[in-house]
Amino acid sequence: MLFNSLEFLLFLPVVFALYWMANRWTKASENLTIQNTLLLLASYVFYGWWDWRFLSLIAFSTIVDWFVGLQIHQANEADNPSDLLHRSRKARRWLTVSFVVNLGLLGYFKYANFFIENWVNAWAIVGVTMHTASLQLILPVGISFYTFQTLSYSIDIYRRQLKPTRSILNFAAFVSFFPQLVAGPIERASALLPQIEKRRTFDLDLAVSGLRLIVLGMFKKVVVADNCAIFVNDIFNNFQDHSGPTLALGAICFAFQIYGDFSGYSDIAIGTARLFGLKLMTNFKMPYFSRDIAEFWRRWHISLSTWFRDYLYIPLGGSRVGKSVAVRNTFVIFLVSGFWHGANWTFVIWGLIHALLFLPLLLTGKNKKHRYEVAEGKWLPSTNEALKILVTFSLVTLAWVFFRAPDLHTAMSYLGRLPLNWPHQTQISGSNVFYIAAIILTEWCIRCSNSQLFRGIPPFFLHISRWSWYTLALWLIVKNFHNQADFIYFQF
Amino acid sequence: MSAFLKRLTLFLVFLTIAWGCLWLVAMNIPIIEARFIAQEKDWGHVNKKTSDWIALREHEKMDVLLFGSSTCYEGIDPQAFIDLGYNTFNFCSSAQTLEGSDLLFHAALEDQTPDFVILDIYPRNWEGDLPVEHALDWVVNGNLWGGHWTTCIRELAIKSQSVYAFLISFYYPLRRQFEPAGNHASPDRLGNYSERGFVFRRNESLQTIPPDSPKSVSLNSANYASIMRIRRTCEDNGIQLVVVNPPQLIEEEFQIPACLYGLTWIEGNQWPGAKVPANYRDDHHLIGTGAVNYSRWLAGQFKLRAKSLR
Repeated sequence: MLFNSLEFLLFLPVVFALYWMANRWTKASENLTIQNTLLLLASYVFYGWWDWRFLSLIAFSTIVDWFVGLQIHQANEADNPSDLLHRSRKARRWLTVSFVVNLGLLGYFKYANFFIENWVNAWAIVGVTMHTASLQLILPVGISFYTFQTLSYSIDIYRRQLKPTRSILNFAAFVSFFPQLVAGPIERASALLPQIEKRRTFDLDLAVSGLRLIVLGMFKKVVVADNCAIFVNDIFNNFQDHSGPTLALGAICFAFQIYGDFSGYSDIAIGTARLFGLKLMTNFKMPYFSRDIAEFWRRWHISLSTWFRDYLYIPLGGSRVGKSVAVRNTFVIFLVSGFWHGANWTFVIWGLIHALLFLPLLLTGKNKKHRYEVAEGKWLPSTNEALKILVTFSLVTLAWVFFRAPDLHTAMSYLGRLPLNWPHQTQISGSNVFYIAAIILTEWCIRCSNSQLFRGIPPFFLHISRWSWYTLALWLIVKNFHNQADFIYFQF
Repeated sequence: MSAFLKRLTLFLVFLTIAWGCLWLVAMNIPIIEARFIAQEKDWGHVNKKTSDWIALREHEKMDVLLFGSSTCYEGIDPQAFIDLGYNTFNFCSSAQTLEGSDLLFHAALEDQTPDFVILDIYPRNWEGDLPVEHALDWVVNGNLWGGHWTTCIRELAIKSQSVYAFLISFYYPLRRQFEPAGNHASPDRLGNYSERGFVFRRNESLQTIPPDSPKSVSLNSANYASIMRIRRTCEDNGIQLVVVNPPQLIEEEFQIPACLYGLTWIEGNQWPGAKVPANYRDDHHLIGTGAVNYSRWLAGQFKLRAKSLR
């Protein structure tokens, strides 16, 4: 089921009403079981709406990791319960089971064809022709997200940072929690599971903030991303026919398309979770206002970046080792991140470009320079900050060309044509410019509001302004709703 | 929870008032209307077609009404039928599926009863639901409002499953009280409206048959039901229903569905110009000159099969 579909608009209020009615009409002791059973059922319906056959994959992954989690904990406890640094050998074996199952599923469904094709191509280089048929595989939606979520559960138990849950119902509700099941945020068990194991009571402020986030997310997806997509698809599909300035605009629009699409999804997911009394982690913090690539990665797809940081980068030694190892680790993490996005060399090159952009910052020790928000406590960034933002955005946008292009040849040709025919008339529609400007302005206003910069303005005026924004945004969402394009991150 | 519902209700009241204000502003400022409500378009010339019908329905009795998609409003010129003695009007519009034809036919029937209905059944439209594009065309660009036409157009909006089309189907009846459709339409530079619903396309013609392969199609249940409804109504009203498969450079593959058994069928692909690329602008849309020639042939075929006028 898509968030931007009529089905979801009916599904959400029904589940919401049942969830809180059950809370009111049943005994307190039964509430948690009923709430989690409802969440689990709703999640399976939500996912099964797309393809019910793949529910078995989620169920399998859930059962395996729940069981493995208990076994790892048992092994650790039996071996040396008091030493938190001790890892038992038996626990390691069980962890390997979790790795094999989760990465095996991911590898089979997502990467099998890629490896077969590249194997055949590699032999073709030395003149050996192999005939293999591609596997007719459908990529299960969200597999990259829920496998990472279950994997982190097993690792955290192995590291003794988390105690396993004894309730398979709670664990299944955690794994399949529908708002974030198919495109994140990749929530850690240590953050979400304790919330699922506690009875939720209705929180007015949380629910209101949830609804606001849903509207903002829908605006980003339905209005900004889907409108940009029309322009972007036309440019990328016929890039040979366009001048440099139009290609540049195509790349910029894609930057906003993917941001609107993915951060929009995250906002809807976080907002929906809040309606059910659950808090999910922030996944985007205005990434296009970053002053360097390191800051960009602290603000873009935070749940994935921190996942790789905690479960790959730091175990490899992170940056607190020699320079050469730190450089190697940087390349590993960016290449794996690129490959995680899809079984295509374009994603690997996209990761490589980010690694190369990150490298100078790492080598000069400036990768943690911009830890605080841009223009903190001020209305606008300084000229210097604005320039840095512009440079970072341009670099990120150029790298997005590899992300969007279907193959390396197209990406290279697209970039090769970028400097041609300047200046030249472009064909971007006024609506796209308007929507992009609207989302930049909206996010900046939210930032100013969070920084208490609107202190002097009368609350009534702020209230009316906010409601006016929501009414206009809702109208534009309704106006553009029939496009119903898939979310880009569904394919990852 | 009650506080939440109270706040939500309050917001919904505010939302309704704010949208009402937006509509008021849009009715008076064209650029706001174009940006926030909808941009009128001339592409299918529905504005002129509907104005034409309003002017003609009171004074002229139509013998033939045409329904179908763009292959029909760009492909069948009513003048060819008029030349043979059949007063004809073309109700076809962009992306009009059989479901859309069904609704429009029943609304037109309330204006007057023709002797013949020609249904252009371009097979590629058989499988899809009623597209938003079709509903919006009639909501935004149409001038036919009031009574049964409002009901018909609102039903088109509902069947397209677009909340937006449904909402603005309440805006436009008000809007058309003050100004007819067409004054703010972005012009169609490649088509001339030439009365009674026909659009003469001035696009460049094809030189060769485009590389494409035939697609196998089947009629979905909604479109099947629509044909059955049209058929029943025609039988009840003594109207002869004629089905036309429009000419296509690359013909779709299909089995004739049971709902079409026994109907008068004209195969457009038997027209001598059906496989001549110079008659087309793409693999299934005729250019103006091609359409005029095809219409003459079609009118002749129709006359051979048509029962006499009442």
